[in-house]
Amino acid sequence: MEVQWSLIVFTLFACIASGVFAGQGLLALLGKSERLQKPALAVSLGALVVGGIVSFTHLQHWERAFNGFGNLSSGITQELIGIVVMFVLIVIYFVVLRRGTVPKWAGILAIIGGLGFVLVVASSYMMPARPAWSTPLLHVFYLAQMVVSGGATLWLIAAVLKADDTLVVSARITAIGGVCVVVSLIAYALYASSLSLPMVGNYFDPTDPTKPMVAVAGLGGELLAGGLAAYFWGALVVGGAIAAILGFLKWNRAEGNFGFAAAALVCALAGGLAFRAALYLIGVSAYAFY
Amino acid sequence: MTQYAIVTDLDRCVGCLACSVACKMVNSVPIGQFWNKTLRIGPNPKNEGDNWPDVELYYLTVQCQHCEKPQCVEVCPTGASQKLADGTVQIDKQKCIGCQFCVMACPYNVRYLNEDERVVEKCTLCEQLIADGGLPQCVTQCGGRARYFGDIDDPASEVSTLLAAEDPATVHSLPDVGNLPTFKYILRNMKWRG
Repeated sequence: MEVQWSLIVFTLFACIASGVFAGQGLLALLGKSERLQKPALAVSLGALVVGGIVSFTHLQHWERAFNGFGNLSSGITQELIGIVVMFVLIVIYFVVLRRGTVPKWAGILAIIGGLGFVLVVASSYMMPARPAWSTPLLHVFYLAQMVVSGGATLWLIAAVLKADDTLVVSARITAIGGVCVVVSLIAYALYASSLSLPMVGNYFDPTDPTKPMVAVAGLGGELLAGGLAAYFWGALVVGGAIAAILGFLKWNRAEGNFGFAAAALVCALAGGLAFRAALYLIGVSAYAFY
Repeated sequence: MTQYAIVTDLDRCVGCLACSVACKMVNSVPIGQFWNKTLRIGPNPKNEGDNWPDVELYYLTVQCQHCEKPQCVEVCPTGASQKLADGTVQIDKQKCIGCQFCVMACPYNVRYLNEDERVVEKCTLCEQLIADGGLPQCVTQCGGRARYFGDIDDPASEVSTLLAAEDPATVHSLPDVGNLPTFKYILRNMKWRG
């Protein structure tokens, strides 16, 4: 199916917002730099708002959204609820932050909220009609993306603020997130290779006589060595491996982090965009011949 | 419960496309879009390894299957896609926000975004006609008399009697991913390939 860039950008920003929020909750639990907390919270809120606005550009009649959302089984409704809950959690976090040190319960709340929101977003694309999406590995990828993009964003904020006590931790989060992205993508490629979709043999659509038959077999091959290889390997190498390497290079070093953090964030975002685009292009329907 | 559906006897279908054309005419389906398509499945070997002339083909009419558990209804955030009391799945265009999640959630790809109205459309089973006791236009126009319309949940209906008279092995549905398609296809003496 066609790549839906609005939804891709929305889910990317959802991962950033959740990753930064959960990451700063973790930093609060670890007793790391309090100086970073407010800017990080602002970035998390900003990412949530930007993502939310971009998602509206996907709607053909966005003005009708205000009198409609109500079907709780809908992924979009659940995402909207997720955004509202995240917003409320960010406000609560801000209130306790204004009072001084972030208490442990608020840190835990931020981690749970961030994880929960990403899982909700991933769940909206779990559709049996799209076998390539209908796997819990989608959740795993989104969580990995949340860790690497959130970690790299925190890393960059720490580098800008020269919050030295946070640099190493955020670099490590980025490194671990990058490894998680690599592992999740390899697991996904194995899943795609094992997919078995309904086949009808030869067929012909008289309304579109020059259209080639849909190749529903070999989706894994498409990812690994076919037309989608650039997306897949780009996401794995750039968005996973290189981001992880950058994090590992600063695993124990708190100096000269800015360039590494900025590069890691760019890699994480580029990889996130690439694999999401690949997911749309591989997302043929269960009956793909219409 | 009522469940309106279409049963198609594929042995009678000659692939004339009259149903596809009639559907476009009566529902003003935009250019490039189809609420009802006639696919040619085959020619495929009768048995593995067979070559021509040991091949077979059939025509398969595909449209919204007005599923028992429609995934499109489940994912619709505003309730624009809904299952009515007559079993048909309809779209309230006034409620549709054009998010197209229903398009993604349909296993048969039979939903389209109407670029002019910016809402999603699909086969309505000609609700404007069946509400008046008529037949869907694709059924009316079928030259081979391959298509039958009625309440598949009513044992006395024409479609139910037709199905009851068939060997169950000859009655098929499109692939089911939990949506329970209600349309049935009858194919005798040929291998059903979906």
